[in-house]
Amino acid sequence: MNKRTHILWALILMMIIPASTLLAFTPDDVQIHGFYSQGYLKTSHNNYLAETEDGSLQFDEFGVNFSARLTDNLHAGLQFFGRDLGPVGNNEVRLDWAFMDYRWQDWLGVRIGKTKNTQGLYNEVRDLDMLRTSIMLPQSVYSELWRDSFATIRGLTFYGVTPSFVLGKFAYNAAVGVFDLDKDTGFASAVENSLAESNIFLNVDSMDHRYVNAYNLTWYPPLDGLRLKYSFFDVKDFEVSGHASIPAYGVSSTSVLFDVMEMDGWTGSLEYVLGNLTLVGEYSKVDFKGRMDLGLGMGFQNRPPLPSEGWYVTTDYRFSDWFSAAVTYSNYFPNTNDTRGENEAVDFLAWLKTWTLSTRFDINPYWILKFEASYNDGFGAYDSMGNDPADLDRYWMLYAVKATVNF
Amino acid sequence: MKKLRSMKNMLFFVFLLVVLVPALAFAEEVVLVVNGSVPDQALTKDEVKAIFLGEKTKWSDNSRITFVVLKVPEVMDTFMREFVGKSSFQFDNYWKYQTFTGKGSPPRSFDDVDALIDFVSKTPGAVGFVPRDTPLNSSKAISVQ
Repeated sequence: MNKRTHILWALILMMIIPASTLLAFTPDDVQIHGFYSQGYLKTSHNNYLAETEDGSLQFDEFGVNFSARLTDNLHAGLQFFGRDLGPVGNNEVRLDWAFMDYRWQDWLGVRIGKTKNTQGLYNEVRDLDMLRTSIMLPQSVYSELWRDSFATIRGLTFYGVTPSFVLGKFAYNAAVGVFDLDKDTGFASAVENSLAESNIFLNVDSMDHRYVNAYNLTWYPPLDGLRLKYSFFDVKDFEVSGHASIPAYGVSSTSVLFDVMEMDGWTGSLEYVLGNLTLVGEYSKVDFKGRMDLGLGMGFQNRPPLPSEGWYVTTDYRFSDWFSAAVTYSNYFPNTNDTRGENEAVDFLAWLKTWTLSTRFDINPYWILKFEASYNDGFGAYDSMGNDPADLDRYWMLYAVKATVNF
Repeated sequence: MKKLRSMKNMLFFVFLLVVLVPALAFAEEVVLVVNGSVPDQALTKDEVKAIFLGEKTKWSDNSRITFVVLKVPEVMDTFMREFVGKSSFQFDNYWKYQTFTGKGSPPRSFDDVDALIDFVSKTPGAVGFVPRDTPLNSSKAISVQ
């Protein structure tokens, strides 16, 4: 932000926060909450997200947040968050969200700052293990590839909910801002991986984009427990720059520019809660199209588009105050132009089909223990572990255990 | 054939017992109480739900709503099921969702009816729920249509 923008924000805040309120504000009004999750992952074959063939404890998340109501209409807060998942995160603490929230009316509010990205039903709470029965969210819709980059949006968000009327009620969220597209995120290594298949070995130096639009609308029809949601995002002027070696051209290092002309996606979601039973289904589609200048005097060349698609269904039942179980089927195609894997090193890199059985034990309201087993067909997933395709097994099991405390 | 039918009837009866009896056994009549300053005389069920989900934040005179919950299991279960359409567990999870995404803070909760009534009586704009026949002090009951 430049100096002029800082001054503008300061003026806006001065207008909406009466000085008398700030003088009356005491530390007692501050709420503090936090959580810590520690997990363990083990696979029968293939290293998935960590060194899981040998079993891995590099699977944790923690966060602490502070929030306060400043006036009847205004509240502010921030959360620090860290995680470790194999090579990603390494428990580095970062600012997860931080914003001022001014709710003018219940149907219109505005959040200024860094907010969670509300794509789909669960993107904004994917770090919060205590809110669901499963340990892993279905990779078909909540890919680890997107997690760090698309978890939050820094900018301006308008939101609100209508009163109930004959059609039920509607809630909306419209955000304009920027994602955390950083060269150290999973998304950067996914770009590197996708080019490695074409024997272009890229090291990403920087990733940038002009802005992102992210909108969603949730409809709560008059039938109690039912909600339907449509979410959409569109990343504008996304560019990746780096240096690459291209053995086919005898080039050991060249400056490369990847210009992404289209990067958008949408998710359709349905959730029905009937007593202790929860049924969920979500479908997601992402379009990714770009061109590349390899720095060899050939100018920009179009890259093959990479449209991906996935869906899942979940049945979740809470049997008692201390026990819940869920069954999920998830189906993901990282490239819908090649769903049979004809252009892949091994065909089953073109899909990931997963059955998951999850169990959750609530020891008390603040302490949860979970066990989960997944049967997988294929390995069409974000591969942060750089598995050699020749060593991969098509059918493999993932076992997960996780304990979470929150306050 | 007759034996089969009576067995089916018995199974159906057992099913009804399992499903309905726990709910009936713990059902307790609950009323909504508000601070004496609250201008509204009645609320719809949808408005009560919206208040306890943090979606309706102002009374009709634009004053702020402060809602509180009574953490007495049978009372809270009844209120949540009848007015909010959630179980107590789902309600707590909903507020954890709001808390850890920065969208809101969980409501103040009381383990004791008298403490809740005392808070509602003294806090302008406050609303809570208590078992019917609870002495209300200077707070008042509000009807739900």
